[in-house]
Amino acid sequence: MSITALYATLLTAKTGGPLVGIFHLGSTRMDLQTDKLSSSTDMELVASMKSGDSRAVSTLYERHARVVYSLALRILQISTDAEEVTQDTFFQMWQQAGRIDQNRGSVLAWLVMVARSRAIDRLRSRRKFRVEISDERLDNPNPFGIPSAWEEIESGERAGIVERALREIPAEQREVLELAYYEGMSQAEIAERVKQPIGTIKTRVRLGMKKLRQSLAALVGDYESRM
Amino acid sequence: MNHECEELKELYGPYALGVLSGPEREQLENHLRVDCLNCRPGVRTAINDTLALALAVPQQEPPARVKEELLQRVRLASSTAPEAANPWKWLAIAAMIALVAVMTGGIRRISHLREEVYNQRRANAELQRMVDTQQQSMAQQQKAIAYLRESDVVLIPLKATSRDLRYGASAIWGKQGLLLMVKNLPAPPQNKTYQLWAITKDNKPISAGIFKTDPNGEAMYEASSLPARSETKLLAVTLEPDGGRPEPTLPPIMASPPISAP
Repeated sequence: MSITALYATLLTAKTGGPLVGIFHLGSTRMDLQTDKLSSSTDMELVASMKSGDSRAVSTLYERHARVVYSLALRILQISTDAEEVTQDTFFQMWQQAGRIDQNRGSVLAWLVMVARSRAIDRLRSRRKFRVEISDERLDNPNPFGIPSAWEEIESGERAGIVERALREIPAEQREVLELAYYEGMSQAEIAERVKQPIGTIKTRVRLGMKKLRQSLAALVGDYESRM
Repeated sequence: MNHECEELKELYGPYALGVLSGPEREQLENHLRVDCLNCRPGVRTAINDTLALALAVPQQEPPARVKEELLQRVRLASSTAPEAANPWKWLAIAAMIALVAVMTGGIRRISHLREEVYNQRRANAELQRMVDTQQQSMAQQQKAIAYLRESDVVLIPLKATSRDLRYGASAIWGKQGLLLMVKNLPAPPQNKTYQLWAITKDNKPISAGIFKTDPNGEAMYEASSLPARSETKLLAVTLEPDGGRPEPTLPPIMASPPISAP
């Protein structure tokens, strides 16, 4: 608990009254509001953005910048490019806060999908390849929504679950998933890269995704049963 | 789950991974558009699974300047609220922009059309002028041919009296009269005119009429009230005040050699 929050608690205990009106001086009031933002859910932060509260961007950035930046860096391999993608992704969220439908999925999923699209777009521009990801996906990157199960899991635990889930996927299937996800390759491009028939690649993609689904379901279920 | 859903189930993963293309992708997207209760959750779950790949990456903290620059951009943009804060405002702005765009486009179009009409009119006028010139030229040629067809015709050249000047004329003198064809003679100054003289053998100038040249320095003039050709020594042109004079007031600017007897 921060000093401001502790002080607020003490005052509340002494006066029994609401905090509003007691902390009316600029900086202290601001600290309280910031604390309030820190305890807000992602969707509440997006709602704050909609009403023009730019501090919500800062809070959301603190929460998810690592994931966004790390993914962009994994895809692009150049830190300055990854920095730009990270900044652009959060700025896009600020600009499009009004369009994000809270009934359709998590904020993290939105950020990841936008960051990946932007990073792969850059990657393909570098390679002068045609961008496979359609404009529709970029404009509306989360058309079906994503359950917030990932956000319920504490980040340290989450990393462990993901690592184990991926480890359970056979190497040749995992390789195909990684080439598609991190390098934005089409199945034909992957077939050329790994020198396998395209039919084999399609099978590996299907089986790899199925295995990922099974492993995650089992691991998340196991985590939830322990909670 | 119907048969099509069973078939499409295999495509959830590739679609979520972004590797599905061509007819298969089209088929799945068309199917999802009809709000299939079986396939939508399946695709949603597959997209959720791909999030694992993002989270599997070794986590690194971005440099502090990324956040600083981001917040600076947000602050700059904050002078206008995020787009959803007041959708009507943005709708109004969008409508105004659209209106301005339409008006600008319309004005541009009208201006463009006006310019086209103006250019077309100029082209038509130019074409008309060329036609007029050609018609005038043809009429002159026909008139000259008519003069030349006659028997007993003399062709009389007139040359500038000053050697360094290039203008000149030709006269066709037959039974029906005299036709003077002038070349390269500048238009006369204001309130002035050219006057043709027939100088008789006793050196008396007889006015054969006045004429002016066109902008090209040309003129075709049919002289009137001439003395008999046999009585005429030569032809001359002078610059005179408007309306001409009974006698020349200035030296001739061009003159013919002595006209030989027929």
